[in-house]
Amino acid sequence: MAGAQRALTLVHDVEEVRPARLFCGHCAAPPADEAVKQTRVCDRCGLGLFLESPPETAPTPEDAFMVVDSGMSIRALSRRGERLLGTAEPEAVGRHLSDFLTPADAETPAAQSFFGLLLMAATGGAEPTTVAVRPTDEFGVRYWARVSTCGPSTAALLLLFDM
Amino acid sequence: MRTLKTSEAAAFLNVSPNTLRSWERRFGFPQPRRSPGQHRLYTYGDVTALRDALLSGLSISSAISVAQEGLRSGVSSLLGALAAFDAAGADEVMDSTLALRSLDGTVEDVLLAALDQISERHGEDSAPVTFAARWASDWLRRAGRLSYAPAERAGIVIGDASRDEFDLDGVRIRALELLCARSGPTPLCLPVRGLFAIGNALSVHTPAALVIAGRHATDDDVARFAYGVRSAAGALPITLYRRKPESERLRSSGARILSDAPAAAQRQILELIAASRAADETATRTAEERPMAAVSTAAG
Repeated sequence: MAGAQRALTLVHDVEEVRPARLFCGHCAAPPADEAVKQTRVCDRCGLGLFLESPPETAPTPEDAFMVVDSGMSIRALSRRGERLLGTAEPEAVGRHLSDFLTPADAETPAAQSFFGLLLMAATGGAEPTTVAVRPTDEFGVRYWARVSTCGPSTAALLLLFDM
Repeated sequence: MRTLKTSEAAAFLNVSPNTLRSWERRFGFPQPRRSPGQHRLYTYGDVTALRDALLSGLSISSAISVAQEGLRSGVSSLLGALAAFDAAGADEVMDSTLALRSLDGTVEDVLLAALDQISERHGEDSAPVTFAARWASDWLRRAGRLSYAPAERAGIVIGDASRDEFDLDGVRIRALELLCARSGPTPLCLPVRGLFAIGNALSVHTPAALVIAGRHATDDDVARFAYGVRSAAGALPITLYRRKPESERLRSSGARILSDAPAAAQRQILELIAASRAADETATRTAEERPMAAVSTAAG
């Protein structure tokens, strides 16, 4: 023991493990069977992949929502979202978000530009924020859009609800 | 080429067979071929590409887009090789595509798709198109050497009315010939122009249908050829096989025009032969029954 030298070692803070909830990107249902988590295909509707998000931002089957990547392309559209936007998911996926939604600027503070928030969320760096949007080329119809993060791979989760 | 049954493909993707069929209806992918018993057969390459895409996808739709993009990359690789007049490179692309797709799929979705794109980009009489057409005809002939004898014993005569070996019609004819050689009916391809002693060939081959393929021969040449074949082999059903056909039937002769996709055309020919045989059998049975009826009437 005489030769042993004691030294202080820098120990990093253990990163806080944040609870996450799995939901289907199409019907928003949680997995019914634990085994399907690996394949990620929804075992209820078979038309969506399981995504993960913090429990407070995870959508429910009654919600209209979409998943948008950092290039602002739509990557998933929920069943309710299909009804709200009047388009089927296979037609919407790959199209730019601005084909469907545009910010309703009067309610959005300049510091929280809609697409800036989405970009931050799609790269995993945004706190959930709610902004006002309207369907592109339509006036007089507006929704609240709650922007948060989901994954994998990391993307923005856009949950739409009535004002 | 490895194919998977519905249950195998579903197990591979860890989903239920019903889910797989619902993807086919909703997204059009993976699109199975059909076995002779009309069961779904999924291409192994399609299923593996989808499985890989599902691992990092955000939705089934986006995973399918990624998988299809990956499978389509064969066309762009082939376009690159042909645009560089690199026959060895084009051969390599086809070899790697065959590892993922069936021969039918490779021919239709990669080889012919690439040729169509080159033709649209440069025009039919351009150097890239003539080079690509000649390479493609050569590749299809080489692929034909690996064919096994088809189960369907019937034969057909293909009257080749293409211009020359640089003609894109010629490539489609080689593709049809290849698919027929693999799955029947056994093809005998002869040029429609100035052909003598055609009876010698037909006495050995015994065709069940005649296909006039291509659009670069004169009407006289085609008529003379068709007359020669029908004189030697009897009244055969005649069909036309062309690139970009305008209608389903030729107005003047009523001849059926086949799909320009070689696999679909090959299936149509088999259906035509089956229908023609069924009609012949019915006619023979009627002819046999008629004297019997006459005898019984006389006896009565």
